[in-house]
Amino acid sequence: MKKRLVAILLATGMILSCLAGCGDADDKSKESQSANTPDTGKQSEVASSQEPESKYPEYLNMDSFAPVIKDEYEDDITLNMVIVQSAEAAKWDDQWISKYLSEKYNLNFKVESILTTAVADRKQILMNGGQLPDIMIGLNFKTTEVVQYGSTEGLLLAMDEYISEELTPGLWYWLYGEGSHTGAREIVTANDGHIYTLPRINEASNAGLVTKSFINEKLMNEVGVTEFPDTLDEFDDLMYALKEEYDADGVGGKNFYPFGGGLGASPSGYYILNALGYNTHEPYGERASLRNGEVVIPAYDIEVFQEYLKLMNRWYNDKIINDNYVTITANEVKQQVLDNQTATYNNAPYVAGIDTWTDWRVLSPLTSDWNDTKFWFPGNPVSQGNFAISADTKYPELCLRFADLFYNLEDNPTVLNAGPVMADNLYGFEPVAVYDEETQELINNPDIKGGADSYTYRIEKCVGLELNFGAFATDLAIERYRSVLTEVEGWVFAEEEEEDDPKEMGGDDHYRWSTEQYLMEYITTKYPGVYYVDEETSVKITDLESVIRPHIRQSVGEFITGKREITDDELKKFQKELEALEIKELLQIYTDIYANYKANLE
Amino acid sequence: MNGKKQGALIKSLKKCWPLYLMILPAALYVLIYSYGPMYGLQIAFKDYSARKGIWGSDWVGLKHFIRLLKHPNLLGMIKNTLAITLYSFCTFPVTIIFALMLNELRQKKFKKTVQMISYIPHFLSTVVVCSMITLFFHPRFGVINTVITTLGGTAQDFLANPDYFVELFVWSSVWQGVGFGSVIYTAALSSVSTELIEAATIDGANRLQIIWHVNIPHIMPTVVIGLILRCGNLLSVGFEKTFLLQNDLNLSVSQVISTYEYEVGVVGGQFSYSTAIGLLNSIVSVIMITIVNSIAKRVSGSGIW
Repeated sequence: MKKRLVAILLATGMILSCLAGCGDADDKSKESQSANTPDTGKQSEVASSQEPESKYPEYLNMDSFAPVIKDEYEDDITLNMVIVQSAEAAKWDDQWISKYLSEKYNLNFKVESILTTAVADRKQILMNGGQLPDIMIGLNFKTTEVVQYGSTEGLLLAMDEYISEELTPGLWYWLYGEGSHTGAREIVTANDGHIYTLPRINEASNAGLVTKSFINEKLMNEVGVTEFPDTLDEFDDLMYALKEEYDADGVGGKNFYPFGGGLGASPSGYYILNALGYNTHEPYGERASLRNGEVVIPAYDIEVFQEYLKLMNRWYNDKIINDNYVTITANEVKQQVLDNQTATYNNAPYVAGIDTWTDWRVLSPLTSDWNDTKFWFPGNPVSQGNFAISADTKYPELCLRFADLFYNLEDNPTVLNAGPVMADNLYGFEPVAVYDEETQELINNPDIKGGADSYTYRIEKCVGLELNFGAFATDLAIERYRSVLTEVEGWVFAEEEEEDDPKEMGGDDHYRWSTEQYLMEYITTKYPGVYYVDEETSVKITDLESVIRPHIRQSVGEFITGKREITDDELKKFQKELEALEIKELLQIYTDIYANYKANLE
Repeated sequence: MNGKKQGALIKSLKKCWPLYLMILPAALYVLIYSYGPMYGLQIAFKDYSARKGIWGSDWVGLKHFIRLLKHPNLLGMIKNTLAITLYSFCTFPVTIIFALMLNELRQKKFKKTVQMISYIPHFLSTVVVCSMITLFFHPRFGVINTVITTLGGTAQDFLANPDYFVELFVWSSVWQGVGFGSVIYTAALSSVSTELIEAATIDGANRLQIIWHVNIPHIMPTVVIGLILRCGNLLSVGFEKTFLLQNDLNLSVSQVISTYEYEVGVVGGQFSYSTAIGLLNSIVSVIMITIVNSIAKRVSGSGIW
């Protein structure tokens, strides 16, 4: 009897532990089942063939922007949503934004959260798993995925069929109305003419969007260089002068590497490629780029690209760059900046944690024997891929009305990113920012419970999800935000004055000022970052890139570190290796894409 | 005859039902998570569409297998995979030797301490082990390079050198697995008859001779089974560890089939193609196990079936 009891208990325990692994009550790992998906086994028609509703659903409030769902509507509507969060962010239900959306707009969500580090894996499993949530935020759909899941498989809603001035005034404004000069519609329209994801819209003049590196100007001045170099040769001399001054021995003790960063992590090599005439922001030379208006893959353009390899190899041997340049991590690079072991850094200096950011300035472009024009690679004021709706959702109008909150200048889109500030929308949270009567500006709330800084508090507790869509960062949206604050709270904001002295600026302001001063004038056109191709071409690109890029990366690493000699024979061999991997075909595809892009622009 | 077999089965069930009950969860687990999803293998022969589902997707025959066979770097990936697995294969005796050495320890306390310490690395996750490798072999701050430079040598970036990748991979796996892997052999050795050992001692055999003539033959069936199962993984290198130790300079040796499968399948969303890769891998593994099992049965009389 005892034996039987023990056996039963053991078996039950084992079954229960197996079952525990099957499901998880935690929001962050649970698959959310859309209440709106078709019955199992039933295949619905491709959504792009659906005709738009002629009348809006009765639950939608079309008389004002808030609430979105009418107060008097009795049935519960809960939208299923997938969001992307960092590990530190609180669960959706504990965040301020969920309360704000629920209280003000009557919007309720059942949320599955994906960690930022797991997006690449989880996205594909989610899309192919058969049950999509109504809304997907932060999944960063590439254009090839938009074509695959939107055009080909019909899993994503063709939102253009619903966007209208009446239903989505904000989206209408930015895509079709006065705000369409940003080019957002062109970025998000797939090659079948439909819109499957919504854009993130920034100001084109936003200095924060441009890839850039910085140099410690104070160190530069200390070695007698008071004017920033114009040419690559002058910059080269500067690097050696810095090395001589701060690490004459070259090894041991306090190593100093004038040209900081690495090949992969905190990449800096693109600066040299730019000086050689390549309009690129990556250091391997593996991506399509422009040089003298022609489409090239820099690593294959060996005649000029070899100069980059030669210079970097010389710098490697002379320890101008890190001796673990290929494998160094971003954290190590940051630490070098903090420890004053480098003179350049590929990010805003304050990000490294230093408080001497005013000693730094942005690196301006250079000319060289192979390029006589200073130019720079522009940022992407408009991006796509981070807001999508399932084609099978039962509430397409509702989902779009929700999305419109992030674009509608007549409402207040910026508050969704800024977090709680106004007294009537705190919902039990502390304000992220407070009004300073003296400066007539919003300042970070210094009294947050627990001593958390305002930025961390906002990201973790208030708006802790990837919001890479919307127009809330545009000047118009910020202006609207301030006018609402004035209207509701009575706060008067001072006119923004130009800071006279950059030395008095905060880290964020200083790096933007420096970028505007020394870089923005050189911004030019680039190879398009967003383009749509058909599935066959997409597969071809994937297949070719999957073999060519690793080979380029390894070879560039070997050339720079000297594991592979930079001789004519070896370079010719490298070229032949790339040709054997069909790089010419890939280059032709890139060239055709650029030709189409230019034709569309005209 | 069938009635007799049925009767025997029912009798066995009645007699040993606690044992069957205990094995039931494991059997269910294998049925649900291993056999259940097998119907999905058909997508290796289809162009899987999430909209159409597994059953509704279009058949394309061997298209994905042909695509794989045409891959310009297929031979390179197979070569890299075999380099790692064959090297790992050669370290197979390490676990056995460790178990034999443990078995010779007379001080029980010391033996248990050694066993416990040797088991611990097994419970570290792959990510932790790879982080340890990265830290220990760091060219500037790593303990290994610190020792080298202290002794007058030159620091090296081991992880950036493709020549060291396989060694680092394999020997870190040995370090991690030797303790736990020796459990099964230690258990087998504990069942060696003491009378046999006494008889051997009386006959004048020393310790090494006892190990060679008594202990090793006794654990040989276990060794053979372990070997056969190892052979089944000839084309399977753990994806996680390879992926975490990969960098730009060692891609020529660290690009293996499993990392490619991950990149195209999971990250690239090409599930049909990656299923075809996995299926081909599995077929090769089954063939290998069958061949090695037959050879093992002929040579040693022991086999899995």
